[in-house]
Amino acid sequence: MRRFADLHLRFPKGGLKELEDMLRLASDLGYSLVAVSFSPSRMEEMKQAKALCSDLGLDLATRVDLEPKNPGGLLRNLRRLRRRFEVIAVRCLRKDVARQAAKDRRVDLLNFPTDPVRRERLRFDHPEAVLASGALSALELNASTILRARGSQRARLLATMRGEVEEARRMEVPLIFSSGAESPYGLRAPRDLASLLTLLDVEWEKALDTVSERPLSIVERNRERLREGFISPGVRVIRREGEE
Amino acid sequence: MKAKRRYRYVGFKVLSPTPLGEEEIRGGVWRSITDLFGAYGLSKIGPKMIEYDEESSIGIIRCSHLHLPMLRASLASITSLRGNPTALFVLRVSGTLKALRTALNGLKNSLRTPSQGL
Repeated sequence: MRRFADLHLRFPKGGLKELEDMLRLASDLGYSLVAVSFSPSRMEEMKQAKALCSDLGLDLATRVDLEPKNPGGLLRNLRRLRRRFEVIAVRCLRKDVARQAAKDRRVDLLNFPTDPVRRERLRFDHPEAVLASGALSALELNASTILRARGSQRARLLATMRGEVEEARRMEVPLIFSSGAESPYGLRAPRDLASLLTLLDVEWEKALDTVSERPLSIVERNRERLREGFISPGVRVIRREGEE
Repeated sequence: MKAKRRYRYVGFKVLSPTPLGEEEIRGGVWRSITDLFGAYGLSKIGPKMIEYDEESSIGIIRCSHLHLPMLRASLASITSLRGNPTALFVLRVSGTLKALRTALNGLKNSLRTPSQGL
């Protein structure tokens, strides 16, 4: 049986109480794992959310969204935060930042502007896909971006995103589809999310993978890396010299 | 000989801060389909509201079995009704109304979020 994951829940304006509603609803909708985007200063709320999730039987992954002004800022943030969060996403609002993020193996998800006009200029293009295919980063698309746009803006956005999906497919860059919800009303059931992805010409089974296998494997990989004694994939310290 | 048209019955739940009537849900769904797929898409999907229970906020829509993903995407695209934030979640899909009703009976209290009293 498939397990589902939504890797992008934003910390809601209503605080912890509203987050609790979102987590409860996500659990009811059939998700087994969700990632909530926390600011590094909200570690206390993160602990409380983890405790709540364990009561609900929901697996919570910690996520941080970086929005650096330049590539140097991105590298500094990655050095500081990579070992503190299970998922690192980079909001690519500048071309040079996008390029640096795509080739850095510490970045998990690449996120592009939500504004349709801005996205036409700064999108997941071919050079970006080439860099990402050589690293470990995946392209993340948010349902909230599609749901917020209206009329002709939505049509333009769908066309741009369709191009990005095609580019990711050609270069075998993993695709992740998340809700990007910041309230319970922004959440969608896993199969409903997948159906939105079919608007971008993704086949049904592959669309389901973007809300199940792909996001789950990213979290699993990172948890393995964050575990004590990790050296490289498949290699870890079992016992040190002189230890029983 | 003309092939028999096959249907899918979609059970859904509405999440909204205020109770909504069947007409509002129907209008919202039809608008969402025409927004995404136009009149042509609406004719292909062939949606029909079978029932909607305001108390449990659960309803059933019938559609052509070939165009189920289109209906699903349209339901997922609804973000507000009557000026209030709204979300529609598909609970179950079935080939027969009887099987769907049986499945939905067990889901009357699903998607309960305490602060919204749903």
